[in-house]
Amino acid sequence: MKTVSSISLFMCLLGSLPSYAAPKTYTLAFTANPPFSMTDNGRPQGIAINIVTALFEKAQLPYKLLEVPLVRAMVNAKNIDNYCAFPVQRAQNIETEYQWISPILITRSGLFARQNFKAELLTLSDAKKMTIGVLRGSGDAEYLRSFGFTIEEANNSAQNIDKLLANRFDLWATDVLSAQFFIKKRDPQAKIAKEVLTFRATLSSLACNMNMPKDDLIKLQEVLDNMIKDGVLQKLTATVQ
Amino acid sequence: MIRNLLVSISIMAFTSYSHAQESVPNVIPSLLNEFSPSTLSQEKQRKEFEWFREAAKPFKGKHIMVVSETLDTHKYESEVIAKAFTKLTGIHVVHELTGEDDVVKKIETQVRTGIHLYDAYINDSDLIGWHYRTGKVVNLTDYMTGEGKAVTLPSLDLKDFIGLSFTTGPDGKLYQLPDQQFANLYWYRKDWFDRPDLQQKFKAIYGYKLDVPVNWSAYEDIAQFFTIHVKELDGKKVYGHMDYGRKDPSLGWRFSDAWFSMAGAGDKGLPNGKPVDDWGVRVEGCTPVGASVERGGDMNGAAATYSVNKFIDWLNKYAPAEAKEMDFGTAGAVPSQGNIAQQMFWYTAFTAAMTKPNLPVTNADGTPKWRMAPSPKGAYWKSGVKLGYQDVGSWTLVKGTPPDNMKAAWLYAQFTVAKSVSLKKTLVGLTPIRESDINSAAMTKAAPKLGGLVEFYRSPARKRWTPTGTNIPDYPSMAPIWWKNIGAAIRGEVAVQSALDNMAQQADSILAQLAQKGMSKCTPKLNAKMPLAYWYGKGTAPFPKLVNEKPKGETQSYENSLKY
Repeated sequence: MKTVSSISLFMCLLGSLPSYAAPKTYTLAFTANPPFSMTDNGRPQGIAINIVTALFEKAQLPYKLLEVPLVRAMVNAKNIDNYCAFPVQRAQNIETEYQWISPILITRSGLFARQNFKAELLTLSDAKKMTIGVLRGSGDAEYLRSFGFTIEEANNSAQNIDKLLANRFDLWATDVLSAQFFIKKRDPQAKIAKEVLTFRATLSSLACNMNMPKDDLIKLQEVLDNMIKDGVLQKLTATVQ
Repeated sequence: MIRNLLVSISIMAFTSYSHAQESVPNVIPSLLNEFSPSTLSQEKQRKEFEWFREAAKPFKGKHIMVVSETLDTHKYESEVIAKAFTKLTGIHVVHELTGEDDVVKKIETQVRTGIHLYDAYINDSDLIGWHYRTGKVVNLTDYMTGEGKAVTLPSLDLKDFIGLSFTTGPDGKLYQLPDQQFANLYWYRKDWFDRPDLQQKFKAIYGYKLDVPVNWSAYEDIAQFFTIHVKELDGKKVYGHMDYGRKDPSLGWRFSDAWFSMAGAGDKGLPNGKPVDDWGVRVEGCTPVGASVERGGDMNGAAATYSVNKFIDWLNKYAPAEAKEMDFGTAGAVPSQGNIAQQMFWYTAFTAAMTKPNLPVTNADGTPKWRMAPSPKGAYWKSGVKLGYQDVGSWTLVKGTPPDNMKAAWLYAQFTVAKSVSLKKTLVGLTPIRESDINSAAMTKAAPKLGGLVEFYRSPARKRWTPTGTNIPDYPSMAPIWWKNIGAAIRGEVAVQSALDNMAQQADSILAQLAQKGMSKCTPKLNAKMPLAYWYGKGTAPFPKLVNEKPKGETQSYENSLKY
């Protein structure tokens, strides 16, 4: 497990506070999932990292960032006080298990194909007879599985773009931002693959332990709503484009 | 500016969709073939299709995105109707299917933040009170004669829709266009109920005939009969009751979908009781004034407590053990597996799944071994109180959607409910929305295989099954208090009365917050707390606890039950 801590300005200021009990530091767990969250030269980076750190800074709540596999992050957020996981796709089946601050990200998922892909996909069901590469444990994997699609799971998106280009499957299902990131990484001209169908939008959230104090929850949600209104999220997102 | 915030930044950056519109000679015959039968003549169908093609011309090549919950009807729309629309018009539609809770979260996010997520939603009419009060949902009455006039189908025939009253605001304006409807009814194995050996055994134990239960006492007796006394039929374990109890959002719908009124909470009145409705919220004019009994509501009244106690009792004693961990999705298919004798609260949206061939509940000739009938009534129920719930999934447009996207989405919305398309859609999904479809020869022909669905929808009594009405000012905020509190009671974490007291208090708090914040219309204004005797003295809900909550069981024949 890679541990990366980030000391907020607020935490520095805490040292100068008098005898009040210091607020507990939140552990914000993320998974390596470029371009949303990753660690580069020991520093956490990515769209989701930018948004969540800005959120806690503005809310003046102390935090530390920690890179953890998604499954463990979710289990920890369920069981450990002052622990949150992000970005998590908020879903009905896990709604009761966390306190949610939402949306920290909104993404669209699409089907991506090699440039020479000829079939016309008008609806998602047109891809029913094809094999679709997905990121293991992702919301898209779960979504397509629930509708009976043939999926092939990989441990990271880099493997998926390689497999797509090597004809190992017909289509790659992922969110549009990830696709852009990995396609451009392989080919700055982005000519090696194309999106052939958008099929859903998802709200990503910060999933926090159920014991999170109500005041913190309300404060974070209010700050997030204001960040959306002020266009801060848009700016933070744009910096990574 | 922020509307297109996070979502649109990269959308379509890589897309290279072709314009999928086909030529008239090719597409219309294929549409006539797919959307058959229809209540329209082929000539009239052809004219409607041509109208859509013409009206959509300015939007050819546009991509729109809509979302709905996952039901058979919406699956047909997503896979077949959307594709037909694209071929006809050249407008590319992504019709996303997801969970109902996700649909609510998404429309709530779009309304709250102004972020443009979708171009249209198929959203339950239960949210009409919120839509009306936020002022952020498009008033369709005005849209159809104003900005959207050129894209409003002349043959839409609004009067033909059976659920229009549910999607109309207190101001008489239409806010949502019905896309599919289903009710919650009683479901039972008629073949088992008709068996002479079981008839004889039941009468010997309970002293009356095994038949369709009229009241909850009979339902309870029948549940006990099959689970405790019959136990096995044809070598297979059977149960007298089925429901679901997993603590998740769908548990909340199970209760907010009129369970309290079926027990007898609230007042007389259609579509919702007045002054107290089936959520237990008291309303003066269009102003919600309280949910707790202290403020004149009935959310924690005697009937509500009785209804939750019965739910828990039956789930623990008479349903399969695994039902406690099931939800709306997983529990829906269980009766079709052939070991459930009856279910008090069964969504008719599952009719299509229940009529598939080769199921243990289907005869060799395709006719069902089961029937649907009106749900029995609880001890507090009085004539004039609504009989059950009806879900009306309806097209909803959110203000701030780019105008051309809204127009293209409105065209698609109408296409999914146009007379040219709707009968075929109804036969596939069995969630009828049009009077003309219900009365069609095709539905008469299908009726023997649908277990009473057609008879129910042809009866004027269907009007006594209604959705959550216009009283609920903020459905997205108020819906979670149902599953959180009642879910805790089901798991034994808190006593039923305490759970409902907490829930009513939370509902009052939300009303108080809305009152403080203000809404564009009919803002809540809380009543002062008064002694119970004050409210009991008014002759309306809340009503005091009954001395006897289990009157004698009463049953009736299936034929009589259809008279509603």
